[in-house]
Amino acid sequence: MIALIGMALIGAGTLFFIAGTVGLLRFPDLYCQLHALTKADGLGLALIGLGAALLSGSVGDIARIALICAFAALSGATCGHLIARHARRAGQEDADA
Amino acid sequence: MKSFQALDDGLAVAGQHRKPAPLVRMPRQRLRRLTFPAVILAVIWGVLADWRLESWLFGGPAVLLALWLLTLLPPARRWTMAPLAALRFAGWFAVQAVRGAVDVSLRAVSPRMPLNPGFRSWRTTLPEGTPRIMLANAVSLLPGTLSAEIEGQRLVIHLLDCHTDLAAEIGRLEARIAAVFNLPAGKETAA
Amino acid sequence: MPDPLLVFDLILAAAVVGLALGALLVRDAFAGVLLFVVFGLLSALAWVRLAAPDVALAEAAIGTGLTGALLLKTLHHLRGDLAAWQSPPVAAASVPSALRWTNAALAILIVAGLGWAILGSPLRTTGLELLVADALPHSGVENPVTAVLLNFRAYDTLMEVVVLLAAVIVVWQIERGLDRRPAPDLGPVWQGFARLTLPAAAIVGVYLLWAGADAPGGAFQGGAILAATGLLVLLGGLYRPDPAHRPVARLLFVLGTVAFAGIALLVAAGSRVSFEYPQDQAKALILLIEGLLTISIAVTLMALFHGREPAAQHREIRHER
Repeated sequence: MIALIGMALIGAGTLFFIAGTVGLLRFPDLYCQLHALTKADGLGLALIGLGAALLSGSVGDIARIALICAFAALSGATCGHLIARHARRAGQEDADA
Repeated sequence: MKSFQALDDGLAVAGQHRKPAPLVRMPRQRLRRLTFPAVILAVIWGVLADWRLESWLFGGPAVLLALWLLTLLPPARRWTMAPLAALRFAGWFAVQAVRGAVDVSLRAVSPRMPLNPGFRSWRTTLPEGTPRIMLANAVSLLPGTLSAEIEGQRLVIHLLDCHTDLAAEIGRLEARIAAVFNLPAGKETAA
Repeated sequence: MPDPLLVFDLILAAAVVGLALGALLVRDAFAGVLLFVVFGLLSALAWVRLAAPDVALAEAAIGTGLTGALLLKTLHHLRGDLAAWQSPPVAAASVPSALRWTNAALAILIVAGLGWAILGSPLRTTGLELLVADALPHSGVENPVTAVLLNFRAYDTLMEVVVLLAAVIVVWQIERGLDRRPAPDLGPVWQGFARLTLPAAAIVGVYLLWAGADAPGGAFQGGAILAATGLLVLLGGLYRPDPAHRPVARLLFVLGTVAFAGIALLVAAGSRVSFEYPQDQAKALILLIEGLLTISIAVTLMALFHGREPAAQHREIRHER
C-alpha cells in the first residue's frame, strides 16, 4: 500500500515536471517561463522526494531526501529571483542606451 | 510562548530576549555567534554519516570549513523566532506552494494559456534582513507571483495575471512572516 | 508490450547520441555548451542505469557541473577578447579536403576498432569483478570502486591528479592578472541563499569524500562539490585571489600529488612494492590520501575556473587593433 502511494506520488511529481517544461516551451517571455520553472518543477521534485521517502522508509534516507528537497526549493526560488533581476537590469540598460 | 533567538540565516537558537548585537563584533562574540550554526551543521553531518563515531574524523574538519565560509559573509542581525508561528507558517506555505504549482501548470497546459503578465511594485513593511529575504523567496513560490527585484523596502513582483489582488496575497504573507519573527504586523518596522 | 525499462534505455541512448551530435554541430557556441551540459546529465543517468553510481556522480559533478562552468567561463573570456578583435570570418571551406578525408578515415578506423573490441569480447563474463571481490578484504575499504582507484590501480589515479596539476600550471603560465572590477552586487536574496547554502555544500562535499570508503563517492566527487562551493565564493566576490596567497595556493595544488606519491614510495621502503599499503594501515592511508587529494582537486578546479595567476600584469599581451 505504502509502495503504491509512493509510486503515485512519483508519478504526480513527473506530471508537474512535464507541465513545467510545457510552460517553459509555451510561455511568451522569460519571466513567465521562470514562473513555470520555479513553481512547477519545485513541487515536482518535492513530490518525487516524498514518494522516494515512502518507498525507502529508512530514517537516514528520509532525512537526506528532506535536505535535498529543502535546498532545491531554496535554490529554485533564489535562481528564479536572480535570473529575473538580471534580466530586468539588462533590459533597463538596453532601454537607457 | 517560549521565544527563540534566530540568526539571520533563519536558524533558531535557544535563549530569552537577547539585545540586538552591535554591527561590529568582538572576536568572542563572533565565536558565540558561530555556536548555533556549528550545532546545526554538526547535525547535518550526523544525519548524512548515520551518526557513526569514526565519521567525525572528517565531520569535524567539515564543520570547521563550513563555519569559515560563514565568516566570509558579512555579519547579519539576529532575529527572535516564534516556533509555533513558524510551524503554522510552514503548513500554510506548503499549501500555497502546491496551489502555485498547480496554478502555473494549468495555465501552461491549458489550450487558451490564460496569461496577462506584468510587473507591479510592492512596499514591504517587513524589516531588512531575513524577514525580507524570506518574503522575496516565498513570493516566488506563491501562485502567480515571482520576485524580480528587492531594493530597500521596494519589492518588484512579476505577475502572471496583473489583476491579481496583490494587497490580499502579499499582505497575508507579510502578516504571517511578521508573526514568525514576533514583529508587529502591518506596521512600519525600522530595520 | 516491451519491457518499459528497455524502452527507457533506448530513448536515453538515442537522446545521449542526439545531444552529442547537437553539441558538435550547432553553430552557436553557447548553445553547444548548453547541449554539452544536458548531454553530461543524461550520460550520468545512463551510468546509473548501468549500475555505476560512482561514475554517475563523477560525471554529474565534474563532467557536467564543473566542465560546464569552465566552458561558459572560457566562452565569456573568448567573446570579451574577440569583441575587440573584430572577429575574422571563420570559413568552413578553409580546411583542405585531404585533411577532412584523413580525419574521416581515422574516425572510421577508431569506430571499427571499438566495434571489433565489443563484438570480439566474450559475452556476459564477470570481468574483473570476482578478482576485485576476492581482494576487497585486503584493500582496507569496502567500496570496490575506491579499492580499485586508490589501491589496486592507484598509479592510474595518481596520473589523473598529475594531469589536473599540469593543467593548472599551464593556465598560470598563460594568463596572469588581477581582477580589479568591483564585486558584483547580487542583492540580499543571494546573501540569504549563500548564508544557508555555502556551509551546507561544504558539509556535503566532505561527506561525499567520507562516504567513498564504503559507498559511491570519493576524492573526485567530493572535491568537485567543494570546488563548486568555491566557485560560488569566487562569483559572489566573497573571496578575491590575491598575489600574496600564491604560495599557499601552490602548496595546495601539489599537496595531493606529493602525499599520494610520497606514501606510495614510503610503503615501498619495506619489502613491499610501491602502492602496496600494509594491510592493517590501508584504510587510514587511503583516507589520508583521499582527504589531501580532495583539497588539491577542489583548489585546483577553483583556480582553473578563475583562469589566471593572481599577479600584477607586467606586459600588455592583448593585441591592439
